[in-house]
Amino acid sequence: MQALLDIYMAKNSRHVVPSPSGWSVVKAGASRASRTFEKQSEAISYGKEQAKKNNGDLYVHRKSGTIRDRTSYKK
Amino acid sequence: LAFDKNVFINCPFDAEYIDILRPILFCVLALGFEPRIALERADGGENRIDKIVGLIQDSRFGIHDLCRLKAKRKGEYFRLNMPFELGMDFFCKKTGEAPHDTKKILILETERYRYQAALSDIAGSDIGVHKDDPLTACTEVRNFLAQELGNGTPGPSWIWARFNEFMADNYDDLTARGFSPDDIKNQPVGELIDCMREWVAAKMPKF
Repeated sequence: MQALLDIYMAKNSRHVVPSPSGWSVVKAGASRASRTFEKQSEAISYGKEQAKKNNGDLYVHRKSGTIRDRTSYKK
Repeated sequence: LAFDKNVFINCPFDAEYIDILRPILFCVLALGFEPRIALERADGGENRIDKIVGLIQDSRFGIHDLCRLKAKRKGEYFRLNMPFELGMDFFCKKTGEAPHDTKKILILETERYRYQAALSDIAGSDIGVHKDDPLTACTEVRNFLAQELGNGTPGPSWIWARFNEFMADNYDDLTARGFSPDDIKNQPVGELIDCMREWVAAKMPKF
């Protein structure tokens, strides 16, 4: 259980998620989206940029919230 | 009291609906309530009607999704379990003594007016419309439960963001435990609820 908690707390991830007006990039734990785009491809590009800059992970979600793709940019 | 926190979820149990069910379950747990659903435990020896009656009697809140009231394909049967169980919940609310007379019911549907033709007894009721969209379903459930919680309830976008974080963490955890993508997609609902409950307790910021 502790190991699981450690994994949870160590996350530095960005999520590309559906939003009412398109696709948003949300940092894990943030109250608001960093940015919202009309197209998922635009959100992915921005999310990738942010994940690389912060040595984090990028999760691309489907409309259902399930994971379409996960990429780690940790150095 | 458990009764005041229990939310009976009456919905289709098919492969398509799981995409709507996941955010509904998560929203209920994230707001401090307890989802109660026929799939929460598998016991072949348990009588189905007895189980449903027990869940209805134990729950102050009922979420009833009637989205399968119209067959999609020629020859497909109507799905009558959901309206049947909605009727049972209404009966419990209307005829029951305290605390059952305090029950609150949310009816969900894909479209706004279809149910009035199919189930005219409730034609005057307000319903929530989710358009088969998981985010919209999550928002409808959040708005329903927020009436109980009042000011300070997190917004729909906040809950949706946390749900997506949970889905990512659950994906990583299940993958590490040897689940294939299909296993993850078909994670049993009882197990999924347990994972959500654990995540909400360990990771979700307090509001």
